[in-house]
Amino acid sequence: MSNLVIPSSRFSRFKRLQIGATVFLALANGVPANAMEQETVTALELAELLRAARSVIASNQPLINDLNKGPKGLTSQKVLEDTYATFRKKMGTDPLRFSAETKRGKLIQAQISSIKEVIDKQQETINQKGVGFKGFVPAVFARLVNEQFRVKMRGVADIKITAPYELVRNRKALPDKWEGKFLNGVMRSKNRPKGKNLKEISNVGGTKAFRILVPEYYSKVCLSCHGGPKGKIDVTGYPKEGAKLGDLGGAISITLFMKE
Amino acid sequence: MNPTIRKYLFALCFVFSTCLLGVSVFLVQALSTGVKAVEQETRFFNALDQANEARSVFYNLRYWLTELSVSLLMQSERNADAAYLRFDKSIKSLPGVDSATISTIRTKTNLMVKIAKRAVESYSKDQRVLGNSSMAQTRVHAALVEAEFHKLVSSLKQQAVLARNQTIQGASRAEYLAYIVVALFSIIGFVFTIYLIRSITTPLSHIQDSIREMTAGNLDTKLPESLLGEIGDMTSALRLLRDAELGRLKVDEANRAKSTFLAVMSHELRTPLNAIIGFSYLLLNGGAAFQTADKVQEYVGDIHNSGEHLLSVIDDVLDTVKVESGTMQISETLVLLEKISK
Repeated sequence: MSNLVIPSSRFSRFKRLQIGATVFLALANGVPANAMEQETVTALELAELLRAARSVIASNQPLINDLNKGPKGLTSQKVLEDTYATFRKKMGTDPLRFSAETKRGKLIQAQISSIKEVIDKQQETINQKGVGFKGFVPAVFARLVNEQFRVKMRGVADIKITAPYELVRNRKALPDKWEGKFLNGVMRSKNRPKGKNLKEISNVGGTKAFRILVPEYYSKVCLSCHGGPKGKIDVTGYPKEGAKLGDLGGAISITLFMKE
Repeated sequence: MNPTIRKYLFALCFVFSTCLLGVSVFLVQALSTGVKAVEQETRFFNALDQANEARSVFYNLRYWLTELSVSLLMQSERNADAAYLRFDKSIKSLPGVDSATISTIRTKTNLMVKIAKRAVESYSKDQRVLGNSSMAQTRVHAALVEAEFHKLVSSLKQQAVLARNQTIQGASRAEYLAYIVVALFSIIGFVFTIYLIRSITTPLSHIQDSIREMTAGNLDTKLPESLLGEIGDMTSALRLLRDAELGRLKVDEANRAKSTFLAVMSHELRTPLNAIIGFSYLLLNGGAAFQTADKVQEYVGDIHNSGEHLLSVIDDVLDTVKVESGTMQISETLVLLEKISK
């Protein structure tokens, strides 16, 4: 999935409802409402930063797939600059505004480092001449960034893009029990407002953690691989899901471990 | 039993029908045996085909498991699961294979799948070393299954080839026996036909010879003896015809004898009558020279003797007629032989 639609605005009515729900959940789990609110904002910023970087890859897809061009100039520096710009445009803030000493700053920095390392590592692939489609698509990029982030932030935080079981392509993206329960249940409800997050204080591997699922919907770009006709083989060699514009495609699942 | 030509012909038809039936029964039996052998052979080849199909599906399953471990794509997992179901179905429905072999292949394959899935789980969790270790075990189990398949396919192939050879041998034997049976029945039919034809034509030829002889006037020709049936009837008829001809000849001879008798008899009757007429004329018209007492006495005596003689002749003729007509009555009386001899 690439170039996904940003589901919510900071100042929307829906956002206020989300914050209200967060306060309620925090109280119910014995977590201060303020802390719950902070975790939510951190998680949403991480999700937004990931989406911004992914959209940069999506907009550069024709360049990456250029058969005849060798070095493409799509360096980690270029990707990060465009990512910051996209983030700022969407969120109205600078992702680098927090100190690396703070938890939020540390998480954002880790994600930025992950983006940089993935792009650096994939330079040979990106710049390969004579090969058109290289398999380096936004979804793969996002997964690689998340895997890198997981290594860096093990025990602190985890980011994963997952989906309802039948929409998952790579086993690594399979939902766990908690994710599956919501992705195959309430999140697919027709009455559920679009973009509404789902969060919960939960126990992950014996550790209390803040978990949030940020829904993602198929955009026009996504449908070139995930659209119709259902079963037709797409450019990656995978049968298309037959999705329609705006259908629930998955969710960014973020876990922030809450140390006692 | 009274052998007739019709019965001979029925017997001939019966013998030929029996031969034909015998040959047909033999050929049908040979064909039936051949069909059964071909069916058996087909069963083995079908089993071989299905074993090869199961083997092919097993390779397909291995491919998708390997593909899954590399790509971790859900579609590959679904393909692997579908391949497993196809494999399980095909291996379970293998005809003519003992359950122990099927059970071994299934158990080893299930173990291989289980370990391959464990490897995939490890790869999904970025546990590459663990995944590689599991994949190594998968290869070992795949090799064991492959060895079982090799053994199974070789055995089925051997049985199929054996069945085919038996079919070919059976067909050759049936062909050889068919030649013998057909030749035997042909000889029996030929010999019997010759015998029947001869048994009809030989007496017919004899009868024909007899007819020619008789037509040429030789009624003494020898007719065939003791022939039964239609030819016997013909011989009997010919015999009757000959006897009739002989009878006719005898009647002709009798008629000729009668004519002779009548001619003689006429002379015998005329002689005394002439004497009577002559002497009586002399007595009436001879004049005085012939009307003397002595002459009259003599002539009347001659007339009387001639009358007695004529009566005796007529009595003899009448007796002969009585004898011929069968009305002669014999009266038993005492007769003096002395008187008759005079």
